[in-house]
Amino acid sequence: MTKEDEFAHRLITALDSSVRDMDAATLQRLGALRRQAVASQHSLTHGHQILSLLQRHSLVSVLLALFILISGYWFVQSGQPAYSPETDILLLTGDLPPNAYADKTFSKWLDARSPF
Amino acid sequence: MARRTFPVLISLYFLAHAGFTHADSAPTWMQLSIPERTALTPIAYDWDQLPTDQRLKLLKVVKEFAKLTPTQQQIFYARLKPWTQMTPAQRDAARDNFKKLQELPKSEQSQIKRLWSQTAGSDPANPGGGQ
Repeated sequence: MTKEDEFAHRLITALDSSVRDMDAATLQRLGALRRQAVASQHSLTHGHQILSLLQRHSLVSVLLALFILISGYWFVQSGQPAYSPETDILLLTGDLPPNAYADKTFSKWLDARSPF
Repeated sequence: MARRTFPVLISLYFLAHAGFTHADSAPTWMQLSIPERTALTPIAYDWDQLPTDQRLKLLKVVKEFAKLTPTQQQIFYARLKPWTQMTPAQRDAARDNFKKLQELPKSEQSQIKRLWSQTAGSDPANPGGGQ
């Protein structure tokens, strides 16, 4: 037995005897903390499992990345209202200039007469 | 396996990025066709500074330019620059109000146009106003 082993043995013995001397409330608290630490380690392991799964199956990674990109693009596109160039052409060639339609007084007249 | 996945993901990212960038890019003045430049002459010096979204919309508008009568083309020329100088909110308001006006009976449309022409002055591009 080396000096280190002997020291470790003495340390373990001392710690064990200290545990035995502890009161029930402290032991319960330590037990709860240990369970908490083990549980968080367990969820970390789950995260690592997903990452390692993605690393092992490159096709899954590629499909997942493709799905995220397409979903993002679709989300951005669907948020934009449809544009109609016909309205702009009519505004740029019609009876009144476009700034008339953007005028606040014009809006008031319109709202006062609009059936909606 | 990770060594193979990483380059694939990087390539995919650049491919998608290039695709999205291409979809969102608008041509510069030098890249426009002759008919497009003809229609957009009044804003030739401003074109490259306009926001991408605005340039893409204008490119759709100018496709109709050749179908306009010479008088309409003159009005279009006179109004194009002020139109691009309006804020996006003003342009949206103009589009909304234009659509609202179209939904009214013809007599009321004429009444509103006449009222605006009388109170707000004349349009330099169309001195006849709503007539």
